[in-house]
Amino acid sequence: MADKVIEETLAPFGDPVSPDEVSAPRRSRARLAGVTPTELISLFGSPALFVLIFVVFALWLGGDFYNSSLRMLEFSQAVPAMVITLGVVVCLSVGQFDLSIAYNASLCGFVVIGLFYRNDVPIWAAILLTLLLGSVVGLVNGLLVTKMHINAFIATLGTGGVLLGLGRVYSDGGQAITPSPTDHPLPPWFRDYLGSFQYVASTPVAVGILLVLVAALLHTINGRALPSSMSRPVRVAILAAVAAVVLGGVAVSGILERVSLNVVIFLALATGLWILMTYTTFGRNIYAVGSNPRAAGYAGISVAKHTTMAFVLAGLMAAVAGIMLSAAQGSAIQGAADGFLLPAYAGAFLATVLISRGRFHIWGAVAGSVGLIYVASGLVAGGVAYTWADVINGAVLIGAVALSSVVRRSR
Amino acid sequence: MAMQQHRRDRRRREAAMAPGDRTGGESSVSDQRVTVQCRGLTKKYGDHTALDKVDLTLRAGEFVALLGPNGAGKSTLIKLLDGVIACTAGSLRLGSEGDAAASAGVIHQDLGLFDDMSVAENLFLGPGMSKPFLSLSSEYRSAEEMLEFVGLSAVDPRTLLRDLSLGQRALIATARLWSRGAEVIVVDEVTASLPRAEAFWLIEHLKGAARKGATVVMVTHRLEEVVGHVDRYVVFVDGKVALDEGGHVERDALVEVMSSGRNKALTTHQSGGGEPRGEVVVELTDVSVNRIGPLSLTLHEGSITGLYGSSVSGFHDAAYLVAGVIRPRHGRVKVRPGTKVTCLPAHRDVDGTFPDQTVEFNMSMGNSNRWRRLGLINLAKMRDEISAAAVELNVIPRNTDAVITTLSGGNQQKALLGRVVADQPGCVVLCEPTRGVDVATRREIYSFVTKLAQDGCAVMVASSDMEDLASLADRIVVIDDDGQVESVIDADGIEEFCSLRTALG
Repeated sequence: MADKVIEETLAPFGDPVSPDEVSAPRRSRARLAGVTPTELISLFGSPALFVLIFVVFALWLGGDFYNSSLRMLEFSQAVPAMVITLGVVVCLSVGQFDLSIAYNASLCGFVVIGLFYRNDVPIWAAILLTLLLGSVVGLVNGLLVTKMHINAFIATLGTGGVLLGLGRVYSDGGQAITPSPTDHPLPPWFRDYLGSFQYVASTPVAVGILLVLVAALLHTINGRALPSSMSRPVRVAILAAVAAVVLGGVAVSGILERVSLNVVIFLALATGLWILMTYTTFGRNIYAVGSNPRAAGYAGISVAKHTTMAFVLAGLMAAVAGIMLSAAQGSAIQGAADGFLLPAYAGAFLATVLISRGRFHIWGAVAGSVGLIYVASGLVAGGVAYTWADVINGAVLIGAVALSSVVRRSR
Repeated sequence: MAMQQHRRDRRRREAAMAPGDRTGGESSVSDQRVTVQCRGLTKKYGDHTALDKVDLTLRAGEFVALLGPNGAGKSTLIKLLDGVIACTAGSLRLGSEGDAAASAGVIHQDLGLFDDMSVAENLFLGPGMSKPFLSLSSEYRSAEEMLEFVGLSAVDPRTLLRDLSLGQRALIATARLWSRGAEVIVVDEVTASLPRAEAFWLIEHLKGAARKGATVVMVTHRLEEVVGHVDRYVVFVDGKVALDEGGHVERDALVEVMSSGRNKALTTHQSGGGEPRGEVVVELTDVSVNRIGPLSLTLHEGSITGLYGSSVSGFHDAAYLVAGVIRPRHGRVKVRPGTKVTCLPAHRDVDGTFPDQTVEFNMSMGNSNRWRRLGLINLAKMRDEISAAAVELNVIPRNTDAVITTLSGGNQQKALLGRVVADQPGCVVLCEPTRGVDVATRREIYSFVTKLAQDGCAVMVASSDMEDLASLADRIVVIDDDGQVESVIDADGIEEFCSLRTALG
């Protein structure tokens, strides 16, 4: 799918041309600031669809939907699932699938509390051990794929099954572990920092992460969504408008006072991964391997090493997700993250049509995941039974991706 | 129904042949039914005339070698026979006048068969070849008949195709065409991927098929395969039939005909030659891998080493050994410390480009450490330098945000060349640098590579294109089909070597 997306998006200036055509713009096609209308629609079609949905919600539901504390609560609750999405993005970028990632997260979530409760390991040490466990699972996946040459689907389906089983074994058949104030009390910071919606970040921290995010957003739009053929003033105007809308929206909604610390941690994590994927040789090599492993090999990039590392990163993200989920729940529940697999992939695939021109992209995945959650909760707020949430998620995913490809094909 | 069709075709063909001729075709070919008749056949592509008023008649039972250098018109004729293109002027008739038209089929190098299916399944796959409900036993019976036609009666129709040798598979493809009523079977360069012994085996069997009534046309670049084996030699040069003789023709006579008027096309360069060589950059000592080796070779600063071999020899592997892309099974590859060696792979689409990515991505990949500061890449600086490099290489369009696959082949190749040299490597390995590239781009690439060597880079050009080697190489290392060094051609011998090989096609 990714090939098509990019290929067709860029065709207007990408067709083979003779030298004299280089400077002369293609005739018979109206251009706005150097971009054709279809190009604009295909670039901004899916984001526009989301904006449209939220505008409809505003008109329809008003304050029922635009309730910043409810929406921040959902964001906070979705953090573990979105951390899994981050891992999925890394894995998809290298051209592989990790189907074990949600089971890995479930097991890690159980183990972090289990080590603390059953083995009296201090919680910080339990966290480190769990991060190690998740990474090792990722390493095993990576080695199965690169050294044993097992198809990633099959390998991770297998390890996923093993992890699911290990979770059952370790939990004695699915019994939850619930530390209480009298029995192995969890330190308050564990829940507050990593899981609690009520623990709000201090204003300087919130402002700091907001500025980082806006900078990242503008940079991403500039580099990915806006074609370089667009003239500079137009570009600056668009970026300034986006920044104004975002900052204004934040100021009006007052969500800065409601950002919980686990959301801040998630955003910092996403920023870190985004920098890793965009600004380091390692990240660029990951994309290269995902695009064409053979060509990567001939360009001197180690395919096996980068593939393995992508699986390790996915495993690490699974561990983080598991830990944050357990912190939010304050207890260990077997299979708690199993259901996050499909939403995680949905968010990651939405990234290819949102702001990233067909590439799997960290911010695109974050935006896609949040968008999916809010569309569903908007409908629930409007009276649709909450049991329909997954149906809505699936339909929105298909709709957004289909819109982009239909527009591209209709040129 | 298909079976009946098949038998009907067979009967018609048998009836068309003179009685009693099935075994002794050689002496009386001229009595045979005409299968191909070209009169003033002309094909033009714009200003270029690919075929120029060709008169040619082929008959049933003939085993014909179709020869000529690249671009002489062989493939145009094949496409016309195959019905893929239409002629500009003249006429092409399959079958003789007053008779039902014959049909022609072409077997290409990839054979068009299914490796995971059985011989019988391969033979009967396709429209009109089988009924909705298959009768396995009757299918096997007809399969056996067909196998006998190509002399493969020992092969069980239930065998999976992947378990047959390449030569046997080529014969299956032949049988498949024959069973579909093709009386003219063109075998296009199929032997190029076969080891020598198997190629000869295949040729003998094809000859057998011809004796049974087919017109078999062999297209090959290897003269030794056909000299003395075929009934007739047809040589094309510049779109015309330069030679059309039956019986025995000497190899040298064929070479002479094929070389006529071709030498002027070659451009030779005059650099390098007697100049003293620079420092050794890469040294191979008794290395071997796959079919290659043991092989010893040194690459020097500022010199361009050509590497040549047939497509069977796997000579590109020797180049990939130099580039460090593959590791030797035995022996040692020694690279001067601190030297970066980069590689332009032979197959651009499969091994070269990152298809869904931009020109910038494609050109920067493998070089991004060049723009790294404090662990992070300075994307703006990288962008500027890549754009400048693209301008220098004349990559069109100028926009390095264009997706690479939207560029023409020549421009993709230039972009990849830009990747190869972006980080100022001390040694550059270029495999088939001008494959699928037009003449103007070819010139640009030649001058770029020449300049690269003048700036002190050790360059290896592994190419099966004689013009590349004639234009660039200071010496040519020739790899034979067993992966050994056949000869090393020094600067003085390059021109002669290249014109000779070009003539052979």
